[in-house]
Amino acid sequence: MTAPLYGIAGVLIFCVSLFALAVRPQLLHKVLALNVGGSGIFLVYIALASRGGGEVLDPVPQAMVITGIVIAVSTTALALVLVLKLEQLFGVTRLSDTDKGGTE
Amino acid sequence: MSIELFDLFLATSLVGLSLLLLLGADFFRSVVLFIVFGLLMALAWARLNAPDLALAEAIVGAGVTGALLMGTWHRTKSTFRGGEWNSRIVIPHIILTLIVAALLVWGVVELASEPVAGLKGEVLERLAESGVSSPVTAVLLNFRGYDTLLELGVLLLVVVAVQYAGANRPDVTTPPGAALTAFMAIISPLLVLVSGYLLWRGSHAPGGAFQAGAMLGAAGILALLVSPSNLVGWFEGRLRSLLVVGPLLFLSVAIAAVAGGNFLQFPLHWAGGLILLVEAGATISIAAALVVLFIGSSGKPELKGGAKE
Repeated sequence: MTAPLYGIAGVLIFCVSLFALAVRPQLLHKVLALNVGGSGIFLVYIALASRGGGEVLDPVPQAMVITGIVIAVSTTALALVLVLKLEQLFGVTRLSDTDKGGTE
Repeated sequence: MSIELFDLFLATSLVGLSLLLLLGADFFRSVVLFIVFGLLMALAWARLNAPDLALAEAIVGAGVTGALLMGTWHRTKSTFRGGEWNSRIVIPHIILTLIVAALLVWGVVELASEPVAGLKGEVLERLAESGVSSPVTAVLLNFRGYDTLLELGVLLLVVVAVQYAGANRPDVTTPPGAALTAFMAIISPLLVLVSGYLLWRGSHAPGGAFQAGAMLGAAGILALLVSPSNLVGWFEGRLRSLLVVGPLLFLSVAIAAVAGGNFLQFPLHWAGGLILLVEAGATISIAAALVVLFIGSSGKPELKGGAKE
């Protein structure tokens, strides 16, 4: 019964992160949302991997999620560097709301 | 069909934390809650019988990511207005999210009730041929070694991209507090020791290159916070070799394996030793990459005109 429970938790975490990604204009909040969403997806993946039961979890999904965590850190780091550069060049940490683009 | 109370509490806490941290106004609070979220995730991995994953999540997911986020927030604090919402689209998005959530929950519950064996049987059958006795390390470094090789490549690529985006150097102006310095004095030899232990342990128990490399990287980030000029001076000349040793070593071993079989096919007798060698290289490169990523996302910009320290 743990598989559906963590699966539902992972899905809900992912949906909350999608909502936050869309609705919060500050870029740092978006980066955080992407990270949390990634964790939610990993939770769904491993919850489904645990369907096999027993003491040992299926090692292939486990290895894939370990790889995924490292990639998520790399992506977050690059996103944060881009936010930092945006702030250093334009003095804002959000994207423009208008159609003209740029940083308002 | 019963749900353990602990699992129910853990799952609910995870969802609740995600709501708090993503929808809160204060970003500092969000990062702290994110680190707590990461640690609870590590507990969830442990509950799902994934100890390697729990280690990796605690070190990398909670620790290093939290440090990166905190560093960038500190650097951009002055222009950052945390409490903003895109108010025109909130209500439509709430409705959309609820619909998507309902559909996905339905899908996951359907999927989760099918009993599926997975690849566990196949991996355990061929475990003896892999050179190690931990199934996760066997999958990561032998059966799916290609994924790990490319992952080291991606890490290197991100480091290049971060350097290309504009060089940063660590902030040497704020002196570290007494508590941090004392803590660092006690913890740094332990971090290096535990990192080496995790690396060696990965062949027969939960552990391995990623956990060891991330722990070493965390030690490097702490060293940056306490005495940046020392670490940066030591890093300067050696940075490229440190970053490259992991992918290069893995690639060389993979190409050398062509002599006895295919690309990346470790010869049976040497597999254990080769895996340890490759993991050692990967540990060093992952640690160096994490330190560079931390400098990049929280440092001060290089002076104009290319003046360096």
